[in-house]
This record gives sequence, C-alpha cells and structure tokens, in this order.
Amino acid sequence: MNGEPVDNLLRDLQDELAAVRPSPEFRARVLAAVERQSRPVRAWWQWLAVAAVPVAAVVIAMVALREPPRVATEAEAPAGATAASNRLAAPSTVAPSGIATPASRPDITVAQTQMRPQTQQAKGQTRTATPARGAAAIATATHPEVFPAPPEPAFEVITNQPEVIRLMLARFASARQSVLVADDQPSDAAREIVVRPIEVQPIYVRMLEDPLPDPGGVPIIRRAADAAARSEK
Amino acid sequence: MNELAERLAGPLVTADHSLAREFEQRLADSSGLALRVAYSVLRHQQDAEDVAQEAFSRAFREFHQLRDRDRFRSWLARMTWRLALDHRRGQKRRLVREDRAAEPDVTASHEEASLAAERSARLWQAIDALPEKLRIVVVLASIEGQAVKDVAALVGVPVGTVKSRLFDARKKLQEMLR
Repeated sequence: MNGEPVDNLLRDLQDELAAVRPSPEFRARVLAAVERQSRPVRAWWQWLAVAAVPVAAVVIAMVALREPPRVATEAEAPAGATAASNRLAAPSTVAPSGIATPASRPDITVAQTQMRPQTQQAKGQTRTATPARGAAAIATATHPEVFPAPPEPAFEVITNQPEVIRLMLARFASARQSVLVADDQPSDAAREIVVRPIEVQPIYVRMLEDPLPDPGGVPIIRRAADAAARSEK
Repeated sequence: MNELAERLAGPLVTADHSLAREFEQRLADSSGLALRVAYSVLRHQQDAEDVAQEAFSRAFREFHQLRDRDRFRSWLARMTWRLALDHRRGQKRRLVREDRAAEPDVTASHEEASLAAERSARLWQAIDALPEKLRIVVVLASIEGQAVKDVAALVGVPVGTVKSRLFDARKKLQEMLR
C-alpha cells in the first residue's frame, strides 16, 4: 500500500461513495417529515376559525347568565295601574321570593325592588307589576338552580289581599320562597301621601270711595288711574 | 367557517404548494449528494440517511428564505456536513463500536476482500486526520467525480483555492499513507 499512488486511493474513495445511494424509503421519509413541518401552519388557521365558534358561544352564555332577571319597571307599567294602587286602603306587606301569577289582581304595587347590588338604584321607587310581568318574574324566581335566590327578599309586594298572594305562592312549593306578612302598620314606602289643599281667600275688586270702608282684612285693589292721581298730589 | 378558513389560507396554501413542489424537485436532485456527504463523515448508511433527512427538513424550513435557489446544493452540502459532524460528536461511543466492527477481519477467508477493507479503513482514517477545510474538498471531489469548479461552487470558495486545497490534501494523504 505504501507504494500506491494517492490517485488510486482517491479512486477507491470515489467508488465507495458512488455506491452509497439513498434507500427507497428515504424520499418518502423526507417528504413525510416536511409534511409534518408544514401541517401546523395551515392547521393554525383552521383551528382559529373552528375555535371561534365555541368561544363565542361560551361568551354569549356567560353574558346571558350574568344579566340580572328583569322585573316590571316603572316605564312598562300601565298608567292606570299606578292610579289603582292609590286606592289601597290598608296595605299589608308580603315579601316572597316569587311574585304574582297571571291570575292575581293587576293592582299589586311593588313598593321595593331588591334584586342585586347593581340594580339597587331602583330601591324605594314605587312600581307596579302587571300579570304578564309577574309571570316573567315567576319564571325567574321559581328556577333557583339557574338564578340562585338572593339572601334578601327579591322584592316587596304591597297588597290589601295577602291571602290571595299566599295562596298563589303556595302553588310553587318546589321553589324556595318565604312569605313574610308585616305588621298591620304599613311601611313607609306604602304609606299614602296626603296633600292637603291650600285655602286661598277670595279676592274682591271694588271702586275706591270716600270714606274708605273698612276692608276688614279683605285686600283692596285700586284702579290705576286713581293711583296715578294720588301720586301727583 | 371552514370555508372561510380555507379562503383565508388559500393563497398561503397555494404558495406552500408551489414551494413544496419545487422542494420535491430539489430533493430528487440533491438527495444523493446530501447522503454521500453525511456518509463521508459517519460511514454508516442509516445514520447518514437520518442526518440527510434532518438536513432536508431544515432546508425546507428555510427554503423560502433562500434567494438564490441555484445555491441550494452548496447550501445543503454545507448544512449536511455540519449536521453530520454534530451527529458524530454526539454518537462517539457508538461510532467507536462501529469502527471496531469495520476493522478488517483477519480471519476472513477471502484475502482480497480483507485487503480491500483494510485499505478502505486506512484511507478513511487518513481522511479523518485531514483538517476540515481539506477534508471536505477531498470528499466533495470524490463524490461522483465532482469537477473542481463544482466543488468550488459547493464550498463557496474560488476555484484556485479548491485546487490548492486539493494539492495540500493529496500531499498530506501521501505522507500519512506512506
């Protein structure tokens, strides 16, 4: 070997390297590896589009669950209902977790609404519940698994027929509710506001005469011409 | 929704498709080169294929960044060379075992085969002892009889540099094999 020229050795090297050929699976393996690399780029777009649907559904569901249940508002109450509520003579206070059914009287006045802290700005306002609104309130109040009952009464109903309310609420025994009948004394919110008329004395207009009659506490209105003559004097 | 995704990704997919087709063509042209470069370092068919596959995977990742596509072969050859060297460093123990297995079997019945194996082993030993700059030039010049011009293009150096390196390599090999 010592006397062999390098060219011959390099020729052997050339032959050996030429004999090295890729196996039949090599090309397929490389293409598979390349495909694995390129797949995530396209899948990212597809997954983004596909994932948008459930994400949107979850967001909508969360927003819907966080929205407080609606109760009758003052603007929605019919005009006659407020007038009718003024006819209540000696209202009793009933504080259930539910409210009237469509069969109840329409002149039930909701004096206080305490739903959740963010809706307490309506507290103290006099509101009227219509049968339809009452049914909507029942739909929310009788499903505690969806809308858990707040620690305080949902709202306060002032009515002159507490027995009717009590019987009505007894139908919904499955719902968690409590009926509290207040004392005979009406609450501050339910107490009627009495506006006494202001008495105004009658006004008499008379011509000035000499001697002036004793007005006797009745105001005197002089004519303008007489007043000007007096001022010239 | 899927239609929208497909429409959005349509141009990208089309671009990817044309790029993939071009890459497949390059793969068909250069797979032998990459494999032989890796084999010249590792002297193991399966390891060489693994390294060549990794080189092609990297090449595909960065293929869109390659402005001069005519330099793909030289780019791939250098990348494969580096990966093979890294692979050999990481697999030293196994390579030692392979080298021992590749040593000529003195008990072989065929004397010619034994002499050829011994000659090959000594040659590779001498090539491995060459400096890296000379080694890659010798290997690339030996792969399918690459011309000096082609080797210069693959290595990215002038033709004169390749010639001088080949001359130095022959001289050192001659000294080592004497």
